[in-house]
Amino acid sequence: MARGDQHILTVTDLGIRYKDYTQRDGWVLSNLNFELQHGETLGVIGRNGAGKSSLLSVLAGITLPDAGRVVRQPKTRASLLTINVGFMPDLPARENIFVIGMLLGLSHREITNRHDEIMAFADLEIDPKQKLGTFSSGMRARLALAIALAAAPEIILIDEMLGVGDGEFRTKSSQAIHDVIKADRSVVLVAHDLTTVQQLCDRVMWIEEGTIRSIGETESVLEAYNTFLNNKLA
Amino acid sequence: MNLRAALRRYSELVVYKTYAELKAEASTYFLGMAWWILEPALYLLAFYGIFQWGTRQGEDDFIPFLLVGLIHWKWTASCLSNGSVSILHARGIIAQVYLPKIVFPVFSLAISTTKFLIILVLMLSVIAYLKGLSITALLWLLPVYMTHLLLLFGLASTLAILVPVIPDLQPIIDNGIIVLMLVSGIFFNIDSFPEDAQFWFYSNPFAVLFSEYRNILLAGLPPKLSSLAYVTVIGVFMSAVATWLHVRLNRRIPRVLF
Repeated sequence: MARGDQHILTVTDLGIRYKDYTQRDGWVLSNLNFELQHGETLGVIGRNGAGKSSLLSVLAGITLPDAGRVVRQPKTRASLLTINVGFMPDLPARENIFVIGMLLGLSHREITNRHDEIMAFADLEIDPKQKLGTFSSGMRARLALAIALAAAPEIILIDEMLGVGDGEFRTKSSQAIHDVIKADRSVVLVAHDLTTVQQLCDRVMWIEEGTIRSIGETESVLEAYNTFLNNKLA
Repeated sequence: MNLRAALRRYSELVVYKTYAELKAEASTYFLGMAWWILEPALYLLAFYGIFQWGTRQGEDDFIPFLLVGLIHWKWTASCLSNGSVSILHARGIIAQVYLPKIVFPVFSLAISTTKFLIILVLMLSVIAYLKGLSITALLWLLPVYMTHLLLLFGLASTLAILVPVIPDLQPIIDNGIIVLMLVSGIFFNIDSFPEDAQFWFYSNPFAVLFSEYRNILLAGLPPKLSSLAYVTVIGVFMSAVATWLHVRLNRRIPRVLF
């Protein structure tokens, strides 16, 4: 949970523009101002096309904003907690753990030290030579999440991935993310499942028509968002 | 991340990814790694057949001449062809993880060069058997390979960054590689042409490199410093262009890809 008022991430006047986007003169997001506090979990909600994924991409440093800036505290990394990056189906789990772990920023030595821990979390009953291509999607998701959690940086950006794998693993992955959130990490969580947001987030930011409609305490923002959705449906 | 830490991280990643890609590729075929030798051997055989019954029939040194040209060409073409689409083909990774885009053509170069090294050992064995080969000649090869690699890095990296931005470049590159093969003196000796034609052929740095390989391996001559300097200047220039493009477009490329 949030520790004091120390900002680990500050977003100022952020704007993202796509030339093919036909609304709002191409601005998917504009004038976004918010801070992420150390140890805080900030939920991001909004309807499809609100620009939530584009926001995470900028926060992760994958793309640059077209306006404004994102400032992280020195020596802090922010990256997406991703479960489908760089899998090589013709190789067994061990090589995939190394490739993906290194893509996500771990060193060879760190992966060597944490290999058993990753395999234990993934809880896969496999032949060590079994190729990843023969794994079920649930097994891949377990392995991917285990690697991603091992490689998780100081600021974790999660894009609607809590429901991966089968029922038992979904519980386990949710618990793991709960543990991450309780640990000394800061999280930006994009999710459609408002129950998840309610359970996990300290604060919530609601994005509507490319800008922040509301940001603040989880309960009050979710209530406003639900009212808005109900009025739209009515 | 400071420069030293970044270099250590990305070089470790390039080495492991190269190993993994090669292992994955070998595991997809029944004959596995044997294809890294069989494929260029079949390539060589096809061209040898065409030319043995064609224009160069009867020349004594044609096999080693063709061998040296084709094997170095195969490496060159593989680096340029795979390197130029390396960023485009990595869109799945680029969408989710920040990596400097220049590492993708480096992955590609590392994979093609590792395969080439295996063929190179075989080629040198064949040359040693047919013509003899001294340690000095092997040492002379090193600066030529360094300049060749510099040129390939500069060209492949520049193309890799430009292709996602200008997709029309891709068919131009594919056809350009075929044209480059025909004008690089792989199947003919440029020195047998009139001098003004030689000037134009040797303005192509790959023709210069292939000529140097043949001079060292088949004629036992040292590399010409002027030739190496010419290729190095082009290689440094292209590497500078790639670096400049990378600085400008590194974090813009994901927007272009999606």
